[in-house]
Amino acid sequence: MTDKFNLLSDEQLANISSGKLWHFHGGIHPHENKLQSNQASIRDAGIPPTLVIPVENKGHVPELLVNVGDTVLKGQPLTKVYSAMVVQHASSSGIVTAIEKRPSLHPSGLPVTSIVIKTDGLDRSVEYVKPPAYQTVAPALLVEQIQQAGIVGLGGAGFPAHLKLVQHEQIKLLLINGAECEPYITSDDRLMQEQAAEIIEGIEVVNHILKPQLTIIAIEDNKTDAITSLQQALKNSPNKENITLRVIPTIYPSGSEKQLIEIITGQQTPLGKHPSELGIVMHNVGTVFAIKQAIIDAKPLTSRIVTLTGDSLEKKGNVSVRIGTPIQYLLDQYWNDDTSIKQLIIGGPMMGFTVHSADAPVTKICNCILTPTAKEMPAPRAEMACIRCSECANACPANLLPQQLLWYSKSQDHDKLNDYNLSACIECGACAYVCPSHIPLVEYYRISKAEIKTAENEAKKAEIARLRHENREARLAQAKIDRQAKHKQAAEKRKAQLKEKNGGEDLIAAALARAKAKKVTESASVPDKTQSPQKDAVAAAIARAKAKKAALAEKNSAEQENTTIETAAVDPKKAAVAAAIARAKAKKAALAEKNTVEQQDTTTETAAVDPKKAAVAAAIARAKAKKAAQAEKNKTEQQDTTTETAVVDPKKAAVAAVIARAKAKKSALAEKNTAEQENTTIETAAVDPKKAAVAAAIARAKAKKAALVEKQPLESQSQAPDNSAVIAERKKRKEQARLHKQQKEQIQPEQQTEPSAAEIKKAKIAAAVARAKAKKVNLAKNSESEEQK
Amino acid sequence: MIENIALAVIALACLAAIFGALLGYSSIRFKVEEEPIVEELDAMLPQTQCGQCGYPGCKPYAQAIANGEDINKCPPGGDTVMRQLAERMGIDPKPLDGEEKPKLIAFIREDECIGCTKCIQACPVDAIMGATRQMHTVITDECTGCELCVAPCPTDCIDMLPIEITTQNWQWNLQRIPTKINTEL
Repeated sequence: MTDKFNLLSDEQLANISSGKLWHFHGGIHPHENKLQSNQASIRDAGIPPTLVIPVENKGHVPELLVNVGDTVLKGQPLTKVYSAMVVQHASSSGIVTAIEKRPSLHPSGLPVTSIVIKTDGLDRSVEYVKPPAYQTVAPALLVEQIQQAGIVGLGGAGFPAHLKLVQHEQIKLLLINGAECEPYITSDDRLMQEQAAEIIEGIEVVNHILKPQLTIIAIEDNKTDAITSLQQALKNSPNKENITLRVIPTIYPSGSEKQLIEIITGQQTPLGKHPSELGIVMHNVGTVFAIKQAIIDAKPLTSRIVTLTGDSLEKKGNVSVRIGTPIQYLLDQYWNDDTSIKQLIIGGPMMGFTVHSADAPVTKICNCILTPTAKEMPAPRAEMACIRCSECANACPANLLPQQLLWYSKSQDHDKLNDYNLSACIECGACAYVCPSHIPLVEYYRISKAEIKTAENEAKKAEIARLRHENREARLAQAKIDRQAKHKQAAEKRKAQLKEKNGGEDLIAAALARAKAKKVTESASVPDKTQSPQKDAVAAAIARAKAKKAALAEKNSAEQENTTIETAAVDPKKAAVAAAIARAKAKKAALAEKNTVEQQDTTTETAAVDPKKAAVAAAIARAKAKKAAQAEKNKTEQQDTTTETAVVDPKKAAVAAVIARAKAKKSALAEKNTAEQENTTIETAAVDPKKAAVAAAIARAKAKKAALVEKQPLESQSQAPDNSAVIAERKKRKEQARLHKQQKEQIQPEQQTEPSAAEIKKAKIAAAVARAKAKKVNLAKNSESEEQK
Repeated sequence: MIENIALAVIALACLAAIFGALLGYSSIRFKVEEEPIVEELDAMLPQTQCGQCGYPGCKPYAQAIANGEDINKCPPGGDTVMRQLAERMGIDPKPLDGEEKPKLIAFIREDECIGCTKCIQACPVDAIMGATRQMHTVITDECTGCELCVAPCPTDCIDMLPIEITTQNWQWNLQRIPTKINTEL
């Protein structure tokens, strides 16, 4: 709201009312060219065959009250109130033939949504009900009526009038702008000459709404007739006490809001602030006239005064034009010579803009249509370099440095333009007017202003996009965490269920214990006495490990035992059982290397089985030794080949993968070996090699998968660094699940009491696979933790 | 003799200790809060979140630039952004890696949309509205024109359209505005 520090003080007001005038900086005196149009009285432009009433404002289309085919009357509202936008009315009676995009009265000429009315020529109007005297109506209601009447600032900017009427408590000074400083334009001049009494009435209405301490009508001293008629009207007015007519010297641009305030009050409006912060409100005389019509006569704004001038026109002068009248219709009535058309300027020669299509309609902001001949307004002369004469700075009414602004506009330095307050430029064109180098300075400023606006919009949009992206990322991250928590919960539930099903045994813990146990036995060669249900499998695994040692130890007695192999029995079942027993025994052999023979010798009860058993054990041991050697070789070879090609970071993962693969191969080989060996002895084991192969394949596939999984986090790490931990965790969980499943499969046969050969073998294979897996997981974990470090 | 040297050493040591303490204190007391360079770089980037730079969003790219990544990998930002980045990083501008295209806006041909939600998942700024088996649409004001939704669409019903020029985003051009007339008739 208004900052009271800036409000005009009573002292200042007294100073203002004394009749003192100030000056703004700079200003120019262009040829006025007003005589061409201000001699004849205002005529009615007539009813055009079609009216095009634009209803779009800054890209917004309010809710429409009419449809195509509807009959409308003059003064009938076409739109609803939409935020601060005013209501648009039909300016004559007729039928709505289209609601579509039509060329607009805008320098771009781009089409905007418009209501097209085919007029019937009768100009029937809605019934205007005489409202109660405005003095008895609350100001707020009057302001609303003004919005409903569709009144905007008629001076040229088109700012909704009701917005300048709401802050009624703080307003000290009401300024009525009748300066009309722009060359050629005389619409306000003629209006003041002809409708002075109504303008005074309108001022009284605004006074009633705003209740200012002082009201000043400012007129340039070149409008003698208007001054006379207003003075006459004031004399006749009953409430003339606080309304003053102030004649100001003619200088361009005195009609600009901030410049006129400076002339009348000596106050400069702070940059980026509204004059209402000084306690000042300014309305154009045309706006005040429209307010009078709306409040006292209940007539909405359906027409405005337009100055038609320029040497191309036969009849120059001011006409009352219905809003929405196509410019072409006016030209048809007043055109002198089609060939003389050079350009169509909306507004004056200083601040106006050129339109290329005469199909555009007259809107509420159109105060002048200027159609100069080539002689009257020759093509601009070639632009020359800035000589930094500072004429423009002397002429600038906003006290800016136009030459600096030009420099930075050309280099598109938006920061510097802001530093030099480009936004304070009122685009009056005084700088371009005085420029000896014919530089169209205002054009550069307008381009730069549009660029800055676009850049600001883009920055705003980018900021929104950034926030939306960040919010989305946060949301996705949260969803991921939630999902993980859910999965974890589910996994725990599954685990608990499984535990319940397995009689209170934690299988994962058991598996871990086994893996640990294996490690321990490998290093310390202490016989493990685990009491778990997987005892058999563990024992088998340990036995195999021991067998290696046994093989080494038994080399001494190998010759002796070799002789007994020939006598080995062919009974397949017994042989298989014997093999299993032999492995178990091999443990003992490892414990006491030299005792083996003695033990074998001293045990008389198993004497029949012993030679066979020893032979099989020896064979297995030899195979194992070979296999171990082979695996070692393979491992080192593969490692060599991969380490050369692998880069530093994925190397570890690759090595881990290779090791895992090697392990898988090793176990496959082991299975193959045992399968082959047993194939020779066991007929019923025909299906086993297949199983072994399948197991090996699965192991290999798993190893590959593990390698891939390890590689992927590495790749994704570069994209989203936070994901690696998540992926690793997920992988771990997957591994666990897999292990879990594996053990479940493994345990079922193991728990069976009958140690048939096939089952033992299966158990063996499973154990091997499990070992490979456990090792792989360990390795993967290690490499992962290293990577994460 | 030795006393003089000792005196000089002690005096210098004392001075060094005093000034060291003073500097240490002032570096803490008058510490200049510097905006993290990543934030600054991020603010320069166009926030299309398109990933054309090879990073999943503008911020990761800003982070990468701060760590020495090339400054010319942002085609939506174009030459302007590249120059800003170059200036901020104190390095020479480089030709843009990629083609600078005018900004486009995604548009879903709604008749052909099957409601698969794939584009919704692809959109980095949540600018697509819709639900499973329901028609989707693009919130034009929020679309950054990153084109990430185009590829996942199974029915190829997403078009990238140029932004419509209205009176709001229209730009002035020279020779549009008369600012001077021959007043000597």
